[in-house]
Amino acid sequence: MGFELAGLIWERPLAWWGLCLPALVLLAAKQPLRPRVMATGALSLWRRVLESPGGGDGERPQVPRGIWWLCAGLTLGVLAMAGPRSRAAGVTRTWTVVVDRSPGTYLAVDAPATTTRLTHGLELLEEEWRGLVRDGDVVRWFDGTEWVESADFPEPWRSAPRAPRRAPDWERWDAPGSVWLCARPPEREPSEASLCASGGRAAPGPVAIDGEDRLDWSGGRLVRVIGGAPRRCVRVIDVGGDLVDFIKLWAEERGLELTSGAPSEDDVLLISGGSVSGGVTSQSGALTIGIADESLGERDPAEFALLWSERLDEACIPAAGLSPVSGRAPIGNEIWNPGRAPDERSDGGLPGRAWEGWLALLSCGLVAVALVGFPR
Amino acid sequence: MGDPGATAMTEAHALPCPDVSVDADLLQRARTFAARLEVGGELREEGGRGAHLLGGEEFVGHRPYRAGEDLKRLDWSLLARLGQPFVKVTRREAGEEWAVLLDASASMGVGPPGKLQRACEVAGALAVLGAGRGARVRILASSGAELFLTRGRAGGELLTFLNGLRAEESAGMRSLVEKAGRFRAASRVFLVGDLLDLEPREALGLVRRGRTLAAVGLLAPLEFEPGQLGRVEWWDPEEEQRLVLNVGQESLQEYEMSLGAHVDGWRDAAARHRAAFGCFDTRAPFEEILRGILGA
Repeated sequence: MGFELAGLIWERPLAWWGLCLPALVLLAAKQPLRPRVMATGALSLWRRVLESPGGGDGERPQVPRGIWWLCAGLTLGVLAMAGPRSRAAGVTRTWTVVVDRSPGTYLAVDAPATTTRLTHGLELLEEEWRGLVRDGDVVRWFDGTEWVESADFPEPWRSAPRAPRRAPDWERWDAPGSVWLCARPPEREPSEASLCASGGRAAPGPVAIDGEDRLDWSGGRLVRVIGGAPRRCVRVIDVGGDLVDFIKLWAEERGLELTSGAPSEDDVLLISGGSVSGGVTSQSGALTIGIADESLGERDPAEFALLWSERLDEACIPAAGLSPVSGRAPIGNEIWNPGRAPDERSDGGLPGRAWEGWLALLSCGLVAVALVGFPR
Repeated sequence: MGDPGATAMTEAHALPCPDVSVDADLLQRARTFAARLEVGGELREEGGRGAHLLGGEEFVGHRPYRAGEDLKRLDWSLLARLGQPFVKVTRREAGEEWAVLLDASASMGVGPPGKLQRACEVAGALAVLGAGRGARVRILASSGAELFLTRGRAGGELLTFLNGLRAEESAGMRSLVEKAGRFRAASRVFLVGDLLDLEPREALGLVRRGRTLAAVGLLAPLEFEPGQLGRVEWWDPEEEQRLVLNVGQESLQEYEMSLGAHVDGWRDAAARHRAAFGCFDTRAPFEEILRGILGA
């Protein structure tokens, strides 16, 4: 981490501690030159000596010139070690592109086309915004949970996350240099940030599962597809005790299939047991259970069932491809609303010329002069 | 020349030898010295500066002869004129007073050996000597402390007094000389100090009819023979003044000349006033100093 001082960037400022060395050398050289303090009752006689023509016997002793050269060489050596570098003229700007990765963003922009709303939004972004980005600008992408610093859109984000995400908290990112990338524009338009909304027509399709049936939105109303529920699997690994029996009951009640083995696209929940550290760790689509939690033991069976039912429901994710009606509803036309460019920071700029080499060379020269030119 | 010397007021340093330490050994040595001096005085009864200072054989009056006294002391001429026997009374027999003025200023803490230490030994020996000769001895220190020995013997009281002295403050020998009224009755006055703060004429003003004066100048080795010390910051503990200079061969010669002029000035002035004077290195024991000043 560089540090700016005297118009230079110092890459290793800790090396400045080395300046103690020439200071110590100078102090050590001055120490013998300090006069000895002696008490006397004959100060008046010494005063007469001082006032006499030959009084004082010569000039005040000085630090040898060689020591000054040596200290100068050591000082330059230390400065060289601190890595001074001039800074090229320039500024730094940082763009923050906030991406909505909720399920609606991954629906087709214009059915039956295969282009998603996200892809369409990215095309619009490249067309309208890319020209505003200068060389040297920093671009950071944020999806509400993860940051990626890259000039280009993060490729993994082109696929919908398995666990549905919510739209970002847009208002937090209403600032110069922010760009909102979404399918449906937020209710409140940004005042500082740029807005890039893909828009899109209605996207009919499944919106929910009800037992063995599937509920689809046709574009105007909901249609129940009897027996159309997709296969949804609960993968149980290394879970035993009373809990596994309860999981069977819970899965059967919700129309889920218990499986084991390799993960698949149909998985809505992965339950792993046998955690030695104990405790329950839950996240969307996954649950890790400690050994101690697997047995009913002395606990009340009703309380056990209620607790685990809540935990499993909370961790279970919807079947792939579902999106609420609000997400499938038509959005309208694409929108590009440019906001303010990011603030410019004048401490940026590209690294300039490094001076450490020249300083090191000069340091060696001075030390050599001190040692050779002024022998003791 | 650059700036070889400078005078400045800075923080005080500790004096090397500010305290005094004397014990019964001093008294013993002083008594031994006094006994030898008496023998020497007998031998040199007829004259010499020492006899003048300590002999005490000066005629001060007559008293009636008492049976059994040595007939040598009978004043035969008075007997012839008056028809009654009288003996001559000397100063010693009449009972005299000695005053020892002791410089205890801060500069007396210079050493080693410390000037105040050696001055106290000299003063103590003078007290023993005076008391042994029947004199009342008054020791006045420049710090204001005073001891008056009247019982003819100097002992623990003397040691306690001397050990209580300390080289401090700026009042020196001059302050004692200026208070001559405190020792008005003294027939013998001894000045013991470095005498560097005092002009000879100031001290020798104390000389008057019926009073003898001896001045003992004590200098530490560093003041007596400094040697080539190199760069030194001289510090005057009394005035807190400092002077930095390089003490080399040339400045050393200048110093020795200045010191020589100072000592010669004292010696000449003392000779004119029939006073005794000596300047000594504190490495000299008090016996040597007293022999030098008393001429014994």
